[in-house]
Amino acid sequence: MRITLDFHIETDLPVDIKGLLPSKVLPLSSKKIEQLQVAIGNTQLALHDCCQVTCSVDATDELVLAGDTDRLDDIGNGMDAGRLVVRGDAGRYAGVEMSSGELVISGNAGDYLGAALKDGMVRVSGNAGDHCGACLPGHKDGMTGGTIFVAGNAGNGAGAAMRRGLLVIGGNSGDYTAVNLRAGTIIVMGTCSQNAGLGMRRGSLVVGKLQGDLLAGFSPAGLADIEWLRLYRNKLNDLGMPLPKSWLKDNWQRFSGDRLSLGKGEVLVHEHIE
Amino acid sequence: MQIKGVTIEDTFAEAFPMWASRLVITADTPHLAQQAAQVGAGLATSIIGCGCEVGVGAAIDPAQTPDSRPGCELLVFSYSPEKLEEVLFQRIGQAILPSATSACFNGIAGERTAKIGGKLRYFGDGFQSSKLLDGRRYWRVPVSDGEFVVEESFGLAQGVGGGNLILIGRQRNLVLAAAEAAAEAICRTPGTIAPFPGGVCRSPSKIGAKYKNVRASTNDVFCPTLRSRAATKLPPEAEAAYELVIDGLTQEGVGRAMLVISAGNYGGKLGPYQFHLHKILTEMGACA
Repeated sequence: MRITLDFHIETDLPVDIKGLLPSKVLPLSSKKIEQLQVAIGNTQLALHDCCQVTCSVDATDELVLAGDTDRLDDIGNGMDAGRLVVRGDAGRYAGVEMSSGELVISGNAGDYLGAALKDGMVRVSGNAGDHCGACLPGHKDGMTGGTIFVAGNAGNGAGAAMRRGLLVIGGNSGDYTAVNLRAGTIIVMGTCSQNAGLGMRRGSLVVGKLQGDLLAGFSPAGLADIEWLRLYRNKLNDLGMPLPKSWLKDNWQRFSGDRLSLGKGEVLVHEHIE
Repeated sequence: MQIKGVTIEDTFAEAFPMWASRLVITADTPHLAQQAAQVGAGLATSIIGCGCEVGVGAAIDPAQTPDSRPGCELLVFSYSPEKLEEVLFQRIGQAILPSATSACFNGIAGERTAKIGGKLRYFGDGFQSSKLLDGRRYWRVPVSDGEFVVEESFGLAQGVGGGNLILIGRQRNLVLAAAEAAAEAICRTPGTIAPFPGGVCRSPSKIGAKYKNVRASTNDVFCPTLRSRAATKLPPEAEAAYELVIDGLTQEGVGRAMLVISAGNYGGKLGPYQFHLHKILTEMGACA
């Protein structure tokens, strides 16, 4: 069964929809769903006051958010099962601490997309804001599992303090990508901006183009074949984000670091640009 | 039963349960993948003396391998999951790891799993690292041409071993040609191997011997030079007999691979699987 929540919000305040998860909403009747509450600023509002609820019995089991979704914060926060689709943009903290299921955003996503993700899949057709897949403020762990696909660009601090999992950025990433990376894999198909990998302990950062030089804590390790990256080819193909053909043919420049930290990380660079 | 002038004895082949694993070996070229697989299958003709039976299976298209490179399958059989784990560790570590550009992946979902890459990683001496993708962990062991990528766990599944056929004929060269053609056909059957040299065995064995410490000895009933000294199963005009031993991941696979002539059995004492030749041939429409 598909339940669609079509939001019509006449406010500039962010709307916190934490708790509107497929596992909690799909079993409820329309009437009960309309009585669920969301937080707008410091006030609580019932769903029937800010959105229209429709049910399609014959469709796939999923919860769909439509309308003014760009104001909605905490979409899929703590999601533990099911499929949640956002038709449009998502606000901040989408997919935070998800432990299972699939979150699909057809537009852009705000800051902290998939922060502290534990498992499951987050897919964004547009761009993501800062701190995608990173740790939450005051916390020390970023993603600890799962997969985030951003078809467009990501902002600063993507994958910060990530421990495990896969973060794929189809476009460019901002400054401080993979900062304090502990493990896991980050693939940036476009250009990676400055200060990438600062404080990196382990893990892999794969970048199509690197703007400028890496930090002083990284040592060049020569040309490298990318045996392990081929393992990701099928998965990325399935998700409609194939690795560029030249990536699998060419040799890569490999750097290890950050020696200011544990220094067991690797940065693979396909092309350097000034 | 006669097919095109060839007599098919009304007998059955006897086989026994074995534990099996399927490795997917990849490399930069089909030749290198094949080479690694062949070395991995070295000295693994008979479970009696080698502790395992190993055969190179079909080549695998790059589109079907985990790392999109040319591949080759290697089927490994042994008598217990513990022995199979030991054999896999040795063969992947000593044959496949040193092969240029190779990588090794699990190719079967078994009832049990064995940590092979999880142990081989220590060859990396602290420089190893891993990737976890879709719940499967792959170890990256640094080697002198890059990295050896090996999956952490390999599946161990119940298979069937020792299915056999015996080809008997007037002229040795003709029997051998028939046996070699049959072995090729067996190896083309998915999930089956013929582990002896070229798929053909000239030393079929029987259980035990007159010597108490010998577990298996020559099967004298098929030896043409012993016809005057012991009971024989050879017709008077027969000059040679060759055995084809078939191991398979499934009973059905072994049955499909057995479309030939006579079979060796041990009165039903060897194993629970019995492949009745007439029944197989009738089911496959070979008598028509």
